[in-house]
Amino acid sequence: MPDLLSHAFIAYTLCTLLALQYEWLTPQYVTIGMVGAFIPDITKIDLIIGSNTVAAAIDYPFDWFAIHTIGGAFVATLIGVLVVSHDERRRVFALLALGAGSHLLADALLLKASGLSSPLLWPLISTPIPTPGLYRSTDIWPSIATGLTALATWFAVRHARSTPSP
Amino acid sequence: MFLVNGRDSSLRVRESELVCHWGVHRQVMLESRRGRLGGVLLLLLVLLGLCLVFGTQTAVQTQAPLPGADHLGYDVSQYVGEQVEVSGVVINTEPVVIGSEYNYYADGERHGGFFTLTVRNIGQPVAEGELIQVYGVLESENAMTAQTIVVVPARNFLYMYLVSFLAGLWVLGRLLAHWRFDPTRLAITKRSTPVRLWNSARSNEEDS
Repeated sequence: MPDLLSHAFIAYTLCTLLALQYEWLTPQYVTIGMVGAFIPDITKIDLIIGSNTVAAAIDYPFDWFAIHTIGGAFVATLIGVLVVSHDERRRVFALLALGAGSHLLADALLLKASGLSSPLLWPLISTPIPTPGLYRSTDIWPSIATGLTALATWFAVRHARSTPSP
Repeated sequence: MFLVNGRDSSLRVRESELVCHWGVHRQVMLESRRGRLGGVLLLLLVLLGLCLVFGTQTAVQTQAPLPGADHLGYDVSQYVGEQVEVSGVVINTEPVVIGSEYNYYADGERHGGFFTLTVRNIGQPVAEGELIQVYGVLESENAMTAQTIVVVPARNFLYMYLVSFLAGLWVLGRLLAHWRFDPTRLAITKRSTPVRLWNSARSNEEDS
């Protein structure tokens, strides 16, 4: 997957652009969208407690990667929705889902030798889905490109806000 | 709740009372400490349950749509003649040999190890120590014919981890500045006035 910084930049850009349409979408809510972009990478718990270590401990197959699929990310999003006040839940759900969805979409475009991505749409689609292979997870340029886009968006939206509408 | 002027006012009041009652009920269910804690625990169990179900699908004992190093490490013989995708470090260039680590769970234990694979028909020069991902046909238990390869610049891993860490700090900083944890309700609530790092720094300068 691209680095988390790219994912954070993408979510920032999307939310900031949506803020032009939705007045309630203040920077505080943009933050929620950015948190959402981190949801699928909760799967990186694997680096600390390996899936196979858990599986061996409970003597049953176990794979943290479920969180990096649309099904797992949805349940994780619901946890986020539950911890906020009830009057924030609709907005928080929309923004966490947007952030998590943008993360999975960006990862669906990663270059793989087989031309197949991971089963990101599980449990809707269990097989790996084809990827156009736009970048490698270790490429540096996606973070620069998404960073410049985020910067340009920040600048443009700030300008649009400070210019009184006719 | 609100009295409505007009002929249907009694009906409307009753309707709104009903809505209000449901609203309060829902609020109690998911807003109390207990309701919220229970809901979060339940959803965590569901999430872990998904990891179990997904685990049975990716287990090495299950025939994978696209076998990788873990599957080959478990039982290479069953994949001879099949399409595989293996990542490994180039340990020899003539012929090209890659070394891959694998680990899997079987019979209540975690198994791990290392195997080597001769890669034919690689189509482009590779250097020793490079990390490559190879897609192709497994010809025998220790050789495969490449169809596509992707070279992964191993140096960039440090960059990836570094900027990911920075992104974590950035978003965590924003979250702490914009939202706060309310221990009495076990809830995360929006701050009425976000903590603004830059403004407070500036006002401190003005004070001094």
